[in-house]
Amino acid sequence: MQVVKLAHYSIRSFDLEKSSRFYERVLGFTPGYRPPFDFPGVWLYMGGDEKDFGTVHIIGIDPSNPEGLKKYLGDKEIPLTGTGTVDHIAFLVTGLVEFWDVFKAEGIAWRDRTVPSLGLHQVFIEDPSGVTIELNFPASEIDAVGSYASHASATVGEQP
Amino acid sequence: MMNASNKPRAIVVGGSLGGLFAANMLLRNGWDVEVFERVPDELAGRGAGIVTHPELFEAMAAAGIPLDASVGIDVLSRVTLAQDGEAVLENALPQTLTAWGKMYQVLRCAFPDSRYRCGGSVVSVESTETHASVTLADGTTHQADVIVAADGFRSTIRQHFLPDVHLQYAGYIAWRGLVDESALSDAAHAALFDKFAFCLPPHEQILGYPVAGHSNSTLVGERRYNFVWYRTSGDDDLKDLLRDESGKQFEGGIPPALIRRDVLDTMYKSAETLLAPQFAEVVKKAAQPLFQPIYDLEVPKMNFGRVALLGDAAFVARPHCGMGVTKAAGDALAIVEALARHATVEEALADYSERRCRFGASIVQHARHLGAYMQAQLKSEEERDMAELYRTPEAVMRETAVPVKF
Repeated sequence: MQVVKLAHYSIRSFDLEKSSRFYERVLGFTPGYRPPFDFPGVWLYMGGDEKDFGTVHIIGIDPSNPEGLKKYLGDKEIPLTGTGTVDHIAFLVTGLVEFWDVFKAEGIAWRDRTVPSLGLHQVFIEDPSGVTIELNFPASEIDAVGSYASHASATVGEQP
Repeated sequence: MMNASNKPRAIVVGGSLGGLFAANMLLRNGWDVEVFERVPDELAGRGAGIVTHPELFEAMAAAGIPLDASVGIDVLSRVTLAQDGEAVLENALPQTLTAWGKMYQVLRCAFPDSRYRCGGSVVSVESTETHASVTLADGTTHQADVIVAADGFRSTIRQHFLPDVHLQYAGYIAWRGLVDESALSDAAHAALFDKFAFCLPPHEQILGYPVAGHSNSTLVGERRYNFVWYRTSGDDDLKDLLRDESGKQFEGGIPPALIRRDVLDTMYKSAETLLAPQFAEVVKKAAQPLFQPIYDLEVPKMNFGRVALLGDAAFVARPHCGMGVTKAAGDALAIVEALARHATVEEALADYSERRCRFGASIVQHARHLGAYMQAQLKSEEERDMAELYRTPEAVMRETAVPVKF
């Protein structure tokens, strides 16, 4: 169980193109490979991060489509500008099962999601300030246990 | 909905697998069912391999279709071959594979001939408060309480109700073909035959598995090996592939016999240079290879009064999940259950649409993820390289053609 590195941060933008252009022109990022999520976005790479899912992710939010917004964010209230438009911050980590155990022990709610084909299992938690933290595990870790439910039922007899 | 004196009447448009699932289930649930199939002869000639999932067999049992072991061929493991033919990764994953012809035979035999009408091409469809009707090319109109549109990915009935919904070409095609078990060399047979096998050269993906042979035999020695080879093809390239020797331009697909010689030669040459020798042999020896452009299709709703879309007429997911037939069978099951549960056809179909739209959209989305690597091949060299970094034989073997829970 270890945080391997700070991986990327993800921001929400009402103008995807404008935001992407900023990161390209001002900071020198390059847009690159991104999985076909069912919401618009861009993954920006700085070089050397081609296998780590890039460094800046932008999520395109269509202000005229409140349904799509709700689908992505749930009922969370979001600021329209400022640092609060950062959607989440991501780490590359290992030790999925141990992390689950810690969340249970600490009473922290989490949400699991596996991104198909990428070799990536994601766990979302919130820090005390309400910042969403995305933990990215190698897909082999979720593969080994199936799901949290199957892991929990398989290990129920092992609890002291 | 149930009329005390008469059975409720259903028309199923499309007599391929999805239509036959619905027709068999409705018939066994007390419906007076008739199937209208446009081109029966063409159907029988199709021989593509089909991946099965447990849900498919559950649906077949629900349809009252007798099943025995001969329906499919079992493999126990998956393997990925490197370009030089060496196995780079192998793991256990039992699965049953079958073929379109075999499934068609089983479903068709379970449905009475007198209710299966050939040659009727639907030109218009209507739904009113009291009934639904279709008009055929010969001018005749046929009424029913419910119409199930199982007329495939280029559904006439979908186009009637949803003219703005179109197939989205994904930027790559799948070459497919079948080779007789007896035609394979011992080396290729040993490396591939009892396995679900993959080969992943840069920019390419090919996979293969055994299916029933001629006359649907699943006996050892009489089976065939089915391959699916994904290759990038931009819009202009695709247009060229879809033109025959005489210059005739096809849309969406070209009959296998009309694929140009130079198109085949290019494909064979690529097989020789790019694929593991065992796969190159399979491709070279396949009787009549064909290709299908890969599409995504999604509809916002599947019900239009008393008319329901089913299977590929509503949602087309790329073949990576191997869920096409299982999805159609699940749609059929859901329609029959909804019709039994609700007081009116309209309510039943609205309920059906809501449940199965969710399922269909999830599968289409999942398949997009599995096909993202192939789609990236049309982009810049940098993006292709990145896609290459993200692609692993582990993920491809883990996720291709396995059941997905949504």
